[in-house]
Parts: sequence; C-alpha cells; structure tokens
Amino acid sequence: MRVYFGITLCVLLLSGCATNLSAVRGFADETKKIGVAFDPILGKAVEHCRQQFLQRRIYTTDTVLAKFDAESVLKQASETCKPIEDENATAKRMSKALADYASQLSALAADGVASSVSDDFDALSAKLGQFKDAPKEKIGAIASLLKYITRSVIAKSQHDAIVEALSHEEAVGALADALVIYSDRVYGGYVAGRLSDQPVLIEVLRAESASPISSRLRLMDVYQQTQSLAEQQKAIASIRTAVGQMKISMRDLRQNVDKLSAQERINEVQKLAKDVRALYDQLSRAF
Amino acid sequence: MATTNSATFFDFADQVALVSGEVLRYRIKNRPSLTDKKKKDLEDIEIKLDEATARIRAEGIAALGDQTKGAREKVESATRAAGTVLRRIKKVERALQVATSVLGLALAAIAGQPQAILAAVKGVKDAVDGDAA
Repeated sequence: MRVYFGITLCVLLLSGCATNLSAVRGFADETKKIGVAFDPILGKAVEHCRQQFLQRRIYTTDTVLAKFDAESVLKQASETCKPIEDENATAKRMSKALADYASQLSALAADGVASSVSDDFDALSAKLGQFKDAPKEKIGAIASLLKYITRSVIAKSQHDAIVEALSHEEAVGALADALVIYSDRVYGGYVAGRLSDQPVLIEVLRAESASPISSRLRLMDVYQQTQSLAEQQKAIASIRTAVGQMKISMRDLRQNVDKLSAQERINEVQKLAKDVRALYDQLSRAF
Repeated sequence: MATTNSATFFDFADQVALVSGEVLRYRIKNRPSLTDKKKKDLEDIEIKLDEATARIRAEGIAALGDQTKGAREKVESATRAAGTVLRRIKKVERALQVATSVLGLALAAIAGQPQAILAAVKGVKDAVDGDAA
C-alpha cells in the first residue's frame, strides 16, 4: 500500500505540473512566418535587377529605334542578373534552415504531443477490459498508472528537447540576421538603385516632345512605381524589426526554460506576433 | 584562410552601382553635346558596371553563406534532433496501437468470429504499417 502510494505521488508530481508551452509554440510559429515572408524577397531582388536594366534600356538608351532589339535586351537583362538568381540558392538554404527549425520546435511544443499517448492507453485498457475473465479493476489501475508514467516521461523528453532546441539561440539569431542583411544589401540595393534612377527617367520623359500623351502616361507609371518602390523599401525595416523582436523573444525563452508558462514569456511572444503582423501588412502594401 | 566579409562585397557593389548611376546621369545631361559614339561607349560602360554590380552582390551572398555556414549546420542539427524526439514519441503511440490491435485479434479468436478476426488482422496490419511510415 505504501509502495502504491509512493508511485502515485511520484506520478502526480511528474504529470501534475505539465508546462503550458503556448509561448514556445507562438514563438516558433511567428519565426516560421518570418522565414515565409523572406522567400518572395529573393525573387523580388532578381526582378528589381532586371527591371532596372530594362528601364534604362527602354527610357534612356541612345540606340536608334530601328536597331532596338527587344529579345536581345530581355536576354541581356536576364544574363546580367543571373549571378544573383544563382546565388539566391545560398540565401534560400538559410531561410529554409530557419523555417524547418521553427516547424520542428512548433511540433515539439504542440498541445497533443503527450496527451495523444493517453488516448492510446485508454484504447488499450478498454480492449483489455473486454476479456471475460480479466480482473477489470486491476487492469484499469495498472493501465492508468502506466498511462501517467508514460505521459510524464514523454512530457519530460518533450521539455528537454525544447530546452535543447532553444539552446541554439546564437545560431538561430545569426541565420535570422543573415536574412536581414540580404534584404538590406541585395534586395534593398536594387530598390535604392531604381529609386535613384526615377528622376532620370522623369527628365527623359519630360524632354520627349514627339508624343506628349504617351509621355504623360509614362510619367504616371513612373510616379506609381516610385510610390511602390518606397513601400518596398519600408519592408526592409519591418523585417529588421521582426527579427530583432524574434531574437529578444528567443533569449527570453532560453533564459527562462523553467518558467515557460509565465505571462512574461507570452508578453514577449505577443510583441513578436505584433511585429510579424506589421511586416505582413507592409508586404501587402508593397507587393 | 580568412574569407572576405560579405559587407565588403556589398559595400563595393554599392559603389559600383553608384558609379553606373553617375555615368547614366552624365550621359542624359550631356546628350546634346555628346557624339553618338561617345553616348554608345558610355551606355556600354553602364551595362558593364551593372553586370559587375550583380556579380559582386552575388559574391556577397556567397560570403554571407560562408559566414553563417556554422550557424546553419547547428540549426539543421538541432532540427534533426527535435525530429528524432518526435519520432520516438510517435513510436510509443504506435506500440500502444499495435498492442491494442493484437488484443483485438485475441478477443476475436476466443469468440470464434471469422469476420471479427479479419477486421482485427487488418487493425494489426494498419498499426504496423503506421509504425513503418
């Protein structure tokens, strides 16, 4: 009887203080969203490179119209930007590593990880109970005990795995920073280049007197492009802010692995969710 | 051998892009006074500078990849470790499902119900297949 009481107490201690992992799950889900938001930036960088090349050839070339070869210009634009397109695979590997990490962390912190085992135990114990001569009460008690022990062991290995995953804070931060650097220096470099070309395009169009209506239409296009490019430039700051909060949130979780359920953890993750929402809002305004 | 920092490549690319922009502005501003050959030469220089900008920025991306290689490998390793834990938990679930199915088969055999036996055999097979998945 004393042994049974001891086992029950251990089980209750192990399983009774199950950690609420919603902060970890929230952090992982928001981190994954940052990775997802980054991926279109890769394609956009190549697109801006091509567009800058094409607009210079369309608006400012001194090649006479009879010799203007559209096919050749398009081919030249693609060839010019090919090094970026090829090397984007490197940046893609970084964002994929971050997104995969976030996905697995989210799966580890999922609600049903430990409780699904309990459901399987219930099914097993129900099946045992169907044997006519089986002592139902004893079977039930043993199954319950096993269920709680297994659930506790699983909850512990789940918690240990989360602690281990969070211990790679520095590496995760370095990858996230690299996405910001790409956004700023590659994508941002082309957006800035196109923005600085816009006044030249406007100057050329204003000097074009042969077809004023066409020039006015083009001026409208250039104006709208400038607006859009300015919004796209703001997206870089949004990515930087979201990644900054992601790192703060991860540090907070890593430094408080024994208090993952605390409201302070949830507060940091809520700030991250707000910054990620702002990033998505900015991206929808920009693209 | 120390690898060149990505920032060095990106800074250099920005400078080359700036020069290209300056050549463009010079060409447009001085269009009336430039000869056709001069204009063509200047445009060719712009194109060469733009190609160089793309190549140097690509070098910057490669350098960024080199700089973060260690971090990426650590994160990938952590991801694999998390996957192993999840699979281990899944295995416990599968073991319980197999045990439940085997008991179902035993029950059906004791009761002598052919249809129930067939259904129970399928249950065991499903549970084992799930384990293999």
